[in-house]
Amino acid sequence: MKRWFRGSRDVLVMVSAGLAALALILAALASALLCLVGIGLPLLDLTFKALRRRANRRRRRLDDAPAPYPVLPDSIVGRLRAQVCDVAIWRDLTWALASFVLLLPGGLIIVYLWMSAIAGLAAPLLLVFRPDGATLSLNGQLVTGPATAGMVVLQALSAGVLAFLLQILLLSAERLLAGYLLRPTRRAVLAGRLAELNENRADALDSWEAKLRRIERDLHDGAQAQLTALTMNLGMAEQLAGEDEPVRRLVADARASASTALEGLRDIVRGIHPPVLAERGLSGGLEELALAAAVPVQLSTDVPRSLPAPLESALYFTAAELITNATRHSGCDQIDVTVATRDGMIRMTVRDNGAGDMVPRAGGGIEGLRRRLSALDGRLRVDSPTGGPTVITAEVPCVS
Amino acid sequence: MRVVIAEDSALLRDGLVRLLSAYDFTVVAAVESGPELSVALHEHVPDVAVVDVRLPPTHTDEGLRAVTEARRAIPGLPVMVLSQYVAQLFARELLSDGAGAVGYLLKDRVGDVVDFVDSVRQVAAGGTVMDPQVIAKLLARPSHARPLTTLTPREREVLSLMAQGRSNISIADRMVVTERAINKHINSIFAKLGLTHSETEHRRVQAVLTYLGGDDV
Repeated sequence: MKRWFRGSRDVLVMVSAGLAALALILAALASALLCLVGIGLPLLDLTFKALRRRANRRRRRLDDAPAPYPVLPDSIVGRLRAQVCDVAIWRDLTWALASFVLLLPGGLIIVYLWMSAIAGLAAPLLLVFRPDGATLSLNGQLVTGPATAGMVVLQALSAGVLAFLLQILLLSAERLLAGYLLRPTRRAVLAGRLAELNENRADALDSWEAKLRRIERDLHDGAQAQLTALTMNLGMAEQLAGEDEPVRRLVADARASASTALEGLRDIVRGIHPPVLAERGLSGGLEELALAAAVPVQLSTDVPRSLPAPLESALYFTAAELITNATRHSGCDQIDVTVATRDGMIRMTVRDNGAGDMVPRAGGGIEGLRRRLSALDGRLRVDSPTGGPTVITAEVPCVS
Repeated sequence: MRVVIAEDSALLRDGLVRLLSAYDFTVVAAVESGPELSVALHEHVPDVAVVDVRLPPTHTDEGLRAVTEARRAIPGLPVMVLSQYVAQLFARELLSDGAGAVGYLLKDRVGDVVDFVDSVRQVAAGGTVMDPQVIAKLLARPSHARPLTTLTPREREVLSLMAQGRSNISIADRMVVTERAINKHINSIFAKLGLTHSETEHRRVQAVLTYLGGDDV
């Protein structure tokens, strides 16, 4: 009984939904037409808003399907453009049109069937209580006696069953339709997931980089400062020991150990986050690499002022590795490093005038660089013909 | 001798004050940040400043920048720059004004108290003292400074020790020769580098600068 009630309510809801869909479609059409003369834009915006609200309400009943809309800008024109260019609002419109076509006629038929079923079932009662001499006509049939009344009741029963079945059919058809048109497309789901993953990866890289920088800072202010103070004190103790040779030697040894420990810490820091990079950014880091290289390095760099920290580090370590490689293996006597930004890509080229024929080893430095750059959606191109020159280009997208 | 000290770690700052005071320096200011250092340098115009590269507030190269600026206003203001590591880039920047009176050492060299104090004095006297690590890297550069290619290996070694701020006696000790032999080498170096017409101390600075500067200065 309860189910029956709910079913009937659903039918009424369906009929009104069909009507609402019709209204929305008409409004959309009208405002789209009005757009030609300009005043339709706000109307279309309002219509879309109503449509989105309606579709979202349906989505909530559809095991809470997520809304598939793109990010909507604040300006009306921008908002409309974003929606018109996206597939979601068109699918909403299709849903509105389809539910109108399906629900309004379907719902009306069911309502009609229910009404005739009720009227037909009332036939025996009406027959008994009819005023004298009046003729009773129900559902297009003349009811004259118990036989015809029975016939009408039978028909009413089958109308009721038909209405019930039709109702189930219509409800499931509507559910299928809404499910198909209102759930985000597979593509949208994947695109959303991809955007999410990209963001996660960027976050992970950022926090990794921040952590490295913090370790560098902590070492600098902590262990390195304390060891330095220790060497300083030991140095003074050494002076105080004066002529006492055994003590002096012992203290000198201790000081040498502290110095070795400091040197070890310096090597570690250079490997995780070189101090020049921390103090002078990528352009300073590259200058230092050029100055410290055993082969003359010509720098021609145009480094954007504020690069994301992971990108800065990746490019620095790429340059360091490539300069070292060229110095050690190519037999070159000149290296050129250029950095330029164009079309949202930062491009670093390391060129040497060595013998060429460089083949990246599996698991070697070049492969490591490739991996590091690919985490930033970058890539590394190696061009090393026999006889040289070797030109290695790293390209990484950068938003600046 | 009046000295200004800039170091952000209290531990090291106190250590430096104690050490330099023990060797008859008068510490006129011991500061812990870049802006304070700038003020102290201009206010006291010390005989020498001992400065950490990395200072607050930015914790980047604040100390180096304060020193470079002060030397622009007060040319040849003697500075001994200390750092947890040495960068060729910073060495070049310190040397680039050609005024000398600069030192650039790893912080743990301070532990070699006598050498360190001697280095500070050298810098105060207008000399140039570069960390052996800076010099080693410069030596690895084949193309650097054409006049130097005419030097004999022995002369190069002498010049390298001069660049570390060592006196003739100390160089002689180190190379196990007499001071007279060292003097001979040095005169030969001056001649080859074309430094014949000025007073000895200035020539010494020039020779070291040529040696350290390579093509870059």
